[in-house]
Amino acid sequence: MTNFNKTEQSSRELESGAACVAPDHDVVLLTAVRKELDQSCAALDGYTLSRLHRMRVAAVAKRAPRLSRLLVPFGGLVTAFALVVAVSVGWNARKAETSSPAAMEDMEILAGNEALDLYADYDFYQWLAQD
Amino acid sequence: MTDTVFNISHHDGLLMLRNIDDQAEPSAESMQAAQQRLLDRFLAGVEKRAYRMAVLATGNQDEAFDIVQDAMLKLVENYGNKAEADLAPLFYCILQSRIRDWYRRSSVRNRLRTWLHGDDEDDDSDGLDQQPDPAARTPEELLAAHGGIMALEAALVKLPLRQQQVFLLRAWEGLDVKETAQIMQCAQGSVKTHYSRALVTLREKLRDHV
Repeated sequence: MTNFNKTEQSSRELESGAACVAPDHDVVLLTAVRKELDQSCAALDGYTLSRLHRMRVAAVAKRAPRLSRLLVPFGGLVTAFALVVAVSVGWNARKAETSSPAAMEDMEILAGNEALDLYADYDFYQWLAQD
Repeated sequence: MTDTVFNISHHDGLLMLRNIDDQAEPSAESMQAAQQRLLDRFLAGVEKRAYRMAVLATGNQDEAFDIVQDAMLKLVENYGNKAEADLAPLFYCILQSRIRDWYRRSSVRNRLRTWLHGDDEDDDSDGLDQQPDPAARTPEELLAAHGGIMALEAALVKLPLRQQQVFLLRAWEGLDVKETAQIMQCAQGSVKTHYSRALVTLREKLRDHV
C-alpha cells in the first residue's frame, strides 16, 4: 500500500506495527522521526515552494497535447510515402534507361569478340560500302 | 424533483462520473484535462517529500531541485497515462534512479579531483579557513538550539545512501519491503538489512532527542 497524506494513518500503522515491524521502543523513535520530517516539509521556505510549484506546472504541461506532437505520426507517414515514391520513380527511370535498345546495343558490342577498332572506324567502312 | 443517475466508469485510473442520460463518451480533451489534474494532484502531494529526500541524499539544494524536476518530467512523459495507484512507485523509482545517477557522477568527479589535485588542494589557502571561528556554534550547540530536526538531519545525512533512502521510503513514505525493494532495485533481504542498520544508527544518535 502506498501512502501519501498519512501522518495520522502512518502513526496508526507504526503503532500497530503494520508499516514496519518495529518493537515498542522503535515506535516512539519512528513516530518522532516522521513528525520531524513532516514538520521540515511544512516549514519549507517560499522560494523552495514556488520553485517546486513551477517545476510541477512545467512537468504537467508536458502532458498537454500539442499540434506538432499530434502531427508527428502523420508527418512520419507522409515522409515515408514520399520516400517510397521517390525511390520507385528513380528505380523505374534507371530501369528504363538500362533497358533501352541503344543501351542493349552497347552491351552487345562490349560483350562481343570483335575488335573495338572496327566499331571505331564504322563510319569509314559504311562510306566505303556505299561507294 | 427528479433524481439524477450517474454512470461510474474507470478509465486509465480516472473515476469518471457521467450523467446516465448523457450517453456521449467523454471527449479526448476532457480525458486529457482529467489526467493532467490527476498528475498535478499527485505531484503536489509528493513534491515536498521528494525534495527533502533529494536534499538529504545530495546535501545540495540545486542538485535536489534538478533531481526532482527530472523525476517529475520523466513520470509525466513516460507514465503520464498510468492509474493513480501506479504513479507513486513509478515516481519514487525514477527519483531513486536519479539519486543513484547523481551519486555515481559525484563519486567519479571526486575521484578525478583527488587524482588531479591530490590531497593538497588547499595548499594555496592562507590557513585562515582552518582556524576556529569564535562565533561559530558547535554541532551540539546547533542541535540544542534547533531541536530534533537538526539532530535528525545530521544523523540521516551521515547514513550510507542506500540505508538513508531505504529508511526514508519505509519509515516516512510507509512503503512495504517489497515496494521498497522494487524501487531501490535490490533484494528484499537487502532492504531489511539496510533498514535495520539505519534504525540502529539512528536510535544510537538520537537517543538524547527522542
